[in-house]
Amino acid sequence: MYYFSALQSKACNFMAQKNIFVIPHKNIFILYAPLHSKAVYLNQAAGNLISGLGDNWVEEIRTKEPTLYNELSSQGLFEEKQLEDNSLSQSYVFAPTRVRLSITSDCSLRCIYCYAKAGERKHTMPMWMAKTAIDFVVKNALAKGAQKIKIEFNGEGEATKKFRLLTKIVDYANETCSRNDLQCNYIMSTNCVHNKSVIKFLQKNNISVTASLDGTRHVHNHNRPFPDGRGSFDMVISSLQQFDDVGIHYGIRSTVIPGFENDMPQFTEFVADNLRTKRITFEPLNYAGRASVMDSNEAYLHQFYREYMKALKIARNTAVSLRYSGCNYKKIGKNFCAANGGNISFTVSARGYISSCNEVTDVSNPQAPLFIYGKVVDDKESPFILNESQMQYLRSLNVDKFQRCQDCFAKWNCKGDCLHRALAGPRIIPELKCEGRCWLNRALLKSELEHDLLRNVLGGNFT
Amino acid sequence: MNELKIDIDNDLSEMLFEKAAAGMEVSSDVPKIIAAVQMPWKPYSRSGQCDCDLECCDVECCDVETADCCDVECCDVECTCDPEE
Repeated sequence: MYYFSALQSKACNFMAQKNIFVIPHKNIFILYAPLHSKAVYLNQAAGNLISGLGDNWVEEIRTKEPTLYNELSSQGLFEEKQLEDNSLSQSYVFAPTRVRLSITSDCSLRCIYCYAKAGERKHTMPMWMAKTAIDFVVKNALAKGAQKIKIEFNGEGEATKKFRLLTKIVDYANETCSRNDLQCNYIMSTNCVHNKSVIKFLQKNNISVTASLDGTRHVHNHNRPFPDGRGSFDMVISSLQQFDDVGIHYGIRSTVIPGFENDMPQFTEFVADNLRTKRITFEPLNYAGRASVMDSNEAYLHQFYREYMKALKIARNTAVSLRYSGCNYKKIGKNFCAANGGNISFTVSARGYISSCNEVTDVSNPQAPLFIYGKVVDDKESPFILNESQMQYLRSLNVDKFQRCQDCFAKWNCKGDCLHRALAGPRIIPELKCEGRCWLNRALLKSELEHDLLRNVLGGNFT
Repeated sequence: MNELKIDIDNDLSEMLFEKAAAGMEVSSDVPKIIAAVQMPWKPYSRSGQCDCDLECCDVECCDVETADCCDVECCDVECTCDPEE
């Protein structure tokens, strides 16, 4: 019988499914049952009792402590629960109805941590390639009887940097969908250095936007300069205010680099006070591309956690919703994203590589052998060269396959976490017994659990 | 770093916990549940699909093609629909 020592992962195998976790917490215990959608505070006696039992713990509690048994039973905690694994269904046919197009590796900014080193290369997707990808997802949608397709612009550069190409692609998709009675939904990740034409285009085509904004003025300007070194903050804010004026739907993505963690609370206030969007995603550094040479240390993650919690406190008093991808407190699952798992994503890079990850789009990337599973070629009969075994392997990967996750209480909330970031980052920070993001994922999840439990206990006194 | 320092750093939590602990039978000899909460997610459905509905926001967050409500973690455009609302 084992239990978690604070945030350190240890086997918690007192249920056959390994899906209930006991976490020591101050002088009591949190029992966390994600598949049962339950968290409970156990008092010392209950926590010590359960922690000391063996595989036959349910029967032991029933015999020794029938009252506790009944309490746990009334919470549904003895019901068997499992997450379904759809990663390798026999009937799988690669027929995506959405495509992520990385139309250029060029960019108007030179962000100091860019995972793609955007702007250093100038690859541009030819129009025939975009058409081929769009035709494919349209054909799949029609065959499935779906009502819509989805096109995302994201990847190795800034799509609006090739505005003429972008408009041609969207016009083509709109025409094709209209002809086939399909709806087309658009998403774009962008640096938000836009002129009025781009904003009008985004509005006209109802494109939902992920806007990169790293913090208040000095932080954003430090991280996201133009090639000549000027900061981009004022232009981005101007774009976002125009988004607000014309009703473009957007969320903010903010990368927090070492040394600037303490901007998070202030930035949260800034967004609440000045922008209409109420969604901020804070992410720690992704140690890829230009960031691959940046330092990592435990103080950074400590500080990220501390400042995120301060920002969260502010957010809870406003309409702002904070998010960090490694701690999903709204949904549980087995795959962090569609880079791996049952339905891998269809991302086409400017040079025609097909990848399951928007952050790995070129064969020069060290992770290309894992994520790139095909190529688009100029052949009307057979436009896709696909590596079936690689696709099968990617589809088979989920949190069940990651050794580091097996005994972790956060595994269905982080869902195995971002495979790319885990692989790109410092594999093991020497001072830690787990990868840095793992520590952060557990710490934030535990804080969320504690928040909900305390609110439950204190009721109206929860202030 | 792996240990409980995170709680010490979290003043709000510390203060609230003290307040809560005063009303809980923390050190009772009788093993018991002190409090229980329902998580904001619904019990996982057999289909492996998200339970929330799709059409309440511009972003199609929940796609029946994937077991995991689409790859919102990648695109960072998160669904704004909330089953509780």
